Amino acid sequence: MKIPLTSLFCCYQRPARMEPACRKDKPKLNTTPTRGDRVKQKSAQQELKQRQRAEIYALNKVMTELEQQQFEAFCKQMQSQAE
Amino acid sequence: MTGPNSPSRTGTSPAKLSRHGRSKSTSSHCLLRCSAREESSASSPNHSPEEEEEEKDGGVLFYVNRTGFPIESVTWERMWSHVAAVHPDGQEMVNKIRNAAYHPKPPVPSIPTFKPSMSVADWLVAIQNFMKTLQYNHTGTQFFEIKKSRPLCGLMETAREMIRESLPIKCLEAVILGIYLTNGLTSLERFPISFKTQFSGHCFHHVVLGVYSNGRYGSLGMSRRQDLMDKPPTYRTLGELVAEFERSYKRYQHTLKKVKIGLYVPHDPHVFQPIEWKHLVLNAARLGAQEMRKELEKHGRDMRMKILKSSSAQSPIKERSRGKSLSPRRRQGSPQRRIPIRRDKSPAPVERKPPELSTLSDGYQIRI
Repeated sequence: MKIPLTSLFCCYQRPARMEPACRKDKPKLNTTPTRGDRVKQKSAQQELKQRQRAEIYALNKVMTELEQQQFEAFCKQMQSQAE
Repeated sequence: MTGPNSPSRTGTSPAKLSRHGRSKSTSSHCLLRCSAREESSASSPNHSPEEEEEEKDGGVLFYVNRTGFPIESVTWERMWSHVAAVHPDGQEMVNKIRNAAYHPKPPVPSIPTFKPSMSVADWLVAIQNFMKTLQYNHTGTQFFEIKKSRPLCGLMETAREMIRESLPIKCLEAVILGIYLTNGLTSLERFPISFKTQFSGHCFHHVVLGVYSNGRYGSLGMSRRQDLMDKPPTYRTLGELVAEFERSYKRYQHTLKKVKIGLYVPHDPHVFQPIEWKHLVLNAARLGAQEMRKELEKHGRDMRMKILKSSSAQSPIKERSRGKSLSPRRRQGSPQRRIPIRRDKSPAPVERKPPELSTLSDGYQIRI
């Protein structure tokens, strides 16, 4: 079983002298993400991007409508002032 | 298009602007709001001329996403904070969108594909429709960072990103995208046209992509205003095209202050040279309409005759023969020195609009 290096050291404090017997029990360290991890990460990123895109367009619709309303109100006000 | 924001906006301050940049591009497009009167004091003597001009834009305080996609949380939260401060419904509007369980997936527009049977005009319409489908970005956060001084090849990479991510864009992004989508159509020349206008004491900047084909001028672009973006390629001269933009601006009570015309952009997307944005700078306030038209038409003729070349557009040093002039206009000296033609360098007197305009509708500004 491969144990990531970070999880090994986050709680582990190496003694000043390591007993020879302990060295045999020291697990092998592997920090390379697996292919599966990479695929999952990429998939999560894609999902996040899609969600962000959907929210951006929902927001843009609201802000576009606001701009249009403000513009129309401004034009009406200008017109009434001119009159 | 950049311009002053509504005074009703609160909650954000320039101090909150941060530059979380990718190593790829680190432009300075977080513009500060300033009136025309403050323009002269806004620039720092230590900045390059381009940065100085950008700071003097007197534009809206808008944010730029510099860290790619998905958008990182700092930029993301900043976007929402901004719109919450701007929109009358504030946080309620924000929560409604962010907490929605489901949002319909916005359609991803198909990249227009050129067919030999298409005319240039049809192709321009297809490109413009593609841009319109992306929509003009009203969120207050620019999603794609555009550094105008970047090499063309780098900007074309950003254009590819725009197509890939398919998000709303603003005017400068539209110019870059327009260049990318018209690359290879060698019968069509493209060049940037920048406008500086004034409304109610504030200055606004806008840029479109001028196009020239078969003896006619037109434009591509994106703007809040329909008549300040694309124009069909029907204008006989560059002067006529710019005059049309000036007429459109007048409908929104914007006074044209400056026009900057660039040079033709090369069709090769791998070129390392930057885009020449302002080979001709015209101060509209000082030049009369006739003189402006004359200068524009002269510039148009020079471009058509391919006399004009920016210093960065020249062939690589290894190919260039010293002492030989490639064109009558080419100056001797350092090839790297940019020599934009500037007419009327002295600043135009700032016309202060009557205070009534700036106080109408809670200080609403007609942005472009």
